Amino acid sequence: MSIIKKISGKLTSGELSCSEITRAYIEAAKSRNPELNAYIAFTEQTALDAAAAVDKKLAAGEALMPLEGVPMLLKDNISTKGIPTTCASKMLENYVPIYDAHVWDILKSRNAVLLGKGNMDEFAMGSTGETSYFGAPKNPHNTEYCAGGSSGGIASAVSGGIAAYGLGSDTGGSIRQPASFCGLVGLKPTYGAVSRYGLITYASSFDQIGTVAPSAEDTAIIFDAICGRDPRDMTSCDIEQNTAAALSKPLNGLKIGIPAEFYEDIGGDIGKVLENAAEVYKKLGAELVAVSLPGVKSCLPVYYILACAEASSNMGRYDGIRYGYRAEEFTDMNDMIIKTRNEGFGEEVKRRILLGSYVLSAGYFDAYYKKAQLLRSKICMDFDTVFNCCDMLLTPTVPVTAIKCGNTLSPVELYRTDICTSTVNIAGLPGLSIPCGFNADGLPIGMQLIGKRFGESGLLNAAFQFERETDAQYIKIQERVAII
Amino acid sequence: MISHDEIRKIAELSKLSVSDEELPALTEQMSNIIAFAGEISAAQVSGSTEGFTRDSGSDLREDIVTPSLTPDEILANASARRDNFFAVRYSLINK
Repeated sequence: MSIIKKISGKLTSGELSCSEITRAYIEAAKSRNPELNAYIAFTEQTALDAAAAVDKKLAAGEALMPLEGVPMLLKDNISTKGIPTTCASKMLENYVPIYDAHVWDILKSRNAVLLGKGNMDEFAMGSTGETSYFGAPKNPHNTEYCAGGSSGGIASAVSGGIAAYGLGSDTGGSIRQPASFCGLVGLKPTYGAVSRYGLITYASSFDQIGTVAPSAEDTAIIFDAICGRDPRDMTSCDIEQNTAAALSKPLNGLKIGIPAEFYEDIGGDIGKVLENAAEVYKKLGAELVAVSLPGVKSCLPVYYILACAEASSNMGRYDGIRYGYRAEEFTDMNDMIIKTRNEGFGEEVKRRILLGSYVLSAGYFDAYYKKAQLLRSKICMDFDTVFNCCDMLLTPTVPVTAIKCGNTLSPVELYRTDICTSTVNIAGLPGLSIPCGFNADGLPIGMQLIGKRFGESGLLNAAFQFERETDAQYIKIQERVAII
Repeated sequence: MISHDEIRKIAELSKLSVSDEELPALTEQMSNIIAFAGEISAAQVSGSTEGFTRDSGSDLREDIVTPSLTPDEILANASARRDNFFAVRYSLINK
């Protein structure tokens, strides 16, 4: 059952007012947040103002648009005019955007109820949420574990029942990985499907805004609202989608590719759960096709070389002059910029800037950056070839389940967990993580469907059919707001 | 293995600094990360660097005036301002 439809139903039937629902969510969020650390900040007045506007419309007998009056949160790298947007960094701790992100423009025009801003890895650089200046968001399934990263806050809030859905960003898996860790549906749309205007940049040729929600149907409703062309993001495309209306297409004849390279290190609970998921699709009439994507082996270094190269350039804007933190003690201009950046950035952000500068520097450019660009093209061609013989791919989302808080993994060990997700960003394709089981400790396991460019509708339909066939038994949202 | 001097060089390029105390641990971490990035060195590849954006192209917007931000808005997040300018300490400008 779609939580968005459920809330909309209660509003339109008059069972509950939007103000009642909003107050219940705010109360639940405030009471649970000390344990989950999902929210960096609450936006109570913004939420209550939107709720009042919805109640006024309802009182006047006006129809509501999809998403209208539904309580949600935004990752804290999505700009909200007049509301601090920190990127979970000391560098932007006091930064207040002077314009709205395109996606927030859309949602605001629909009276979306913004409960607050979601915790995240600093500047979206991390896999556990632990690089956040404000501490890591916790996994509601077991708070000894991280919610994941970098969009861990929105996943923690939605899974913990203290927001109906969230918008985040995905550069190498930052939506799908926490969705997988928290038992939610996470969509990284096609590069260009959703405007990134107002998204604080990490790596421009990979970044994409997407959704974290309890179900495929919720995801379709949100995606339909936010996708499309925006002249303020020149990479956005004029492709209208109506995925929510296409959710009941039978899967007979659908060809699902199983790329061997994604399963090489997959075993145990994750392997078994993925096998079961593939069987469900067979039962639904899909044909499973063994395929190969040889370029996957080089994906991780390609992703980290290119993303960090772009990050080192993008992060150059933080100089302490125009916005953000400024060091207090310095001797000259250069010293001020260096001290500002040294004090304002956390360790992981600095490591990625250093790697980016290294691969772009004279003597290393050809061996790293240029070669990674060539390999990126090859990986894109590999996907084109594979999609000649199948409609979508089925892979694990992450080769591991949620990571314990305070883990001692090295940076490279953490980078390696992005193998299944970063590949999708390299090729600019849509990727959807869907809950499909649990490990022996009860932690969620996700599977990933990868589609052709702008193939979101097919992915969401396949996810919807899976949920229906399995009675949505793998979706476990905590019910913190009793009246819903 | 990357050297201490190379770490200092890329830190300088990045407008960051590395203290003597931080240097050994950071050098080890960066050596591992660069070795990881170097895993592509064995891959044989040639051709173009055409990516997935090739078919989306780019287009020109109409040459028309649209609303823009006011000086107050642009300066709203500055650490310091003087009139309609970003301000830095006078002593810096003198350097």
